[in-house]
Amino acid sequence: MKEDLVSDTLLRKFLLAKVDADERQRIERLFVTGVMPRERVIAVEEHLIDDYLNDSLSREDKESFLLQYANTPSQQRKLRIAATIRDWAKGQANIGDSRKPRSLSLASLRQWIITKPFWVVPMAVAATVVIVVASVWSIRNSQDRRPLALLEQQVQQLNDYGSAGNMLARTSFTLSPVSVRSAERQPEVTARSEHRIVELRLLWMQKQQYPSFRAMIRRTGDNTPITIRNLKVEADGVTAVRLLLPAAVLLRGPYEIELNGVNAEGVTGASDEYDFLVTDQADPR
Amino acid sequence: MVRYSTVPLEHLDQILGWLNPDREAAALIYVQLCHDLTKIFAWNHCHDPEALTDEVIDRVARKVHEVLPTYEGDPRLFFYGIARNLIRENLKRAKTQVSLEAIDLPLAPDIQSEEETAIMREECLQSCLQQLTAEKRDLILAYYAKEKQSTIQNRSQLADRLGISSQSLRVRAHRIRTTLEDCIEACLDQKVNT
Repeated sequence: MKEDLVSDTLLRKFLLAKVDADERQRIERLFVTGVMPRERVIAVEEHLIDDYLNDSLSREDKESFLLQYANTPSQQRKLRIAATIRDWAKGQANIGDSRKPRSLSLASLRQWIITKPFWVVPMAVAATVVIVVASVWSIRNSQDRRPLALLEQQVQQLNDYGSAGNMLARTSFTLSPVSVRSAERQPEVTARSEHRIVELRLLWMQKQQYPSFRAMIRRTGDNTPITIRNLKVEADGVTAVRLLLPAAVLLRGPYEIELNGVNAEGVTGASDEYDFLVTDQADPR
Repeated sequence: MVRYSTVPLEHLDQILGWLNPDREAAALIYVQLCHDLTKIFAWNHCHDPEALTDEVIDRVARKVHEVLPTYEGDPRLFFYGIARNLIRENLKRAKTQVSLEAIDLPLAPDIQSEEETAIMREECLQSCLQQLTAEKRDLILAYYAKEKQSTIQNRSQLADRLGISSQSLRVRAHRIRTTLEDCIEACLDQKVNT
């Protein structure tokens, strides 16, 4: 078979693991024998990474991409490094346009860490999240949606590795679904400056039970939610889904959460809505 | 990344001779082959692709003296065949282990993400950039400078300015980026371990 028969579109599908076993092996053979130039694979792979970091992949492709390229800690690390290089290049290019330096906030955070070495290790997860969060929220009205994917990834990690989050100072709130709360006041969430993590316990009052849940959180009025998957139920007297958020992400104002049950096949089922009001913003410094 | 192999020297000689009679050319093919196999393992979700690549070389080394006299065709396909067997074995192992993995064990914290911060990455990036020549630094900066909408036009202009094709530019940028990424990874490892 000729290399010509592997179009860029097919190569992209191959890299996203969307081809059958025979096609996969055919392409791998062409690759390993050098019949298909490696540069082509590199180029298509690079486009994919760019598209992911620019948040321009379709939902389905994004899921496939994350399975292929962010499935292990080592791959996630490579992706973070790739993002760092691209951020640096874009930052340098824009340096004349804006004097608002990301490096200044990094420098102050670094100073803060240096003066409080005891906090260095437990702050590591939160620091990463806070930095990404800060950049995302500061540009959330711009055209650049790329960091949103990174933010989602970081918040996802915070929830995936809950044990790491346990080391961080946190404040916890229990929220009932809007439908159940009826005329009660909107719950208020206040994170004081020492709290790095806000833990939301979302009460699940529905009969249907699910192995995992998906939460979509947005500030009321914002178009794009942050989606956190694979959240688990905690059955500690009451059934609740625990959602961890970096305190710095929460700006003063109302928020909405849509929580969906997800069955074993990955299909979303019943949902509930929650809302809360952030009354004081956490100070990340 | 090619690791030190336990392959006896005479077997390695046979492998290289099989890949190409010219020893230098054979060494280049060998290194490229190891990279390619590692990539294939990664594409197939195999845990520790580098170790599996080593395993391919070890298995080929054990068989090379039998296969060499009669084998016809591109020897790299023989390596690939062994790699495919390993992928199948890996898949089978993963399936039999799934029930154990499904047990709700406490999640081991991801040490890397826990200890590595954006600050560390930025520091490592700055340090690694210093190790690049100014020319390479400028190229990687110019290559990634623009947002998606203007990327294609920007890269095409950059290739024109450098007097090379877009494909050559892509390869050049890829090589620099790979060097940079490897350097950052090594730097992060050092920071995390100290």
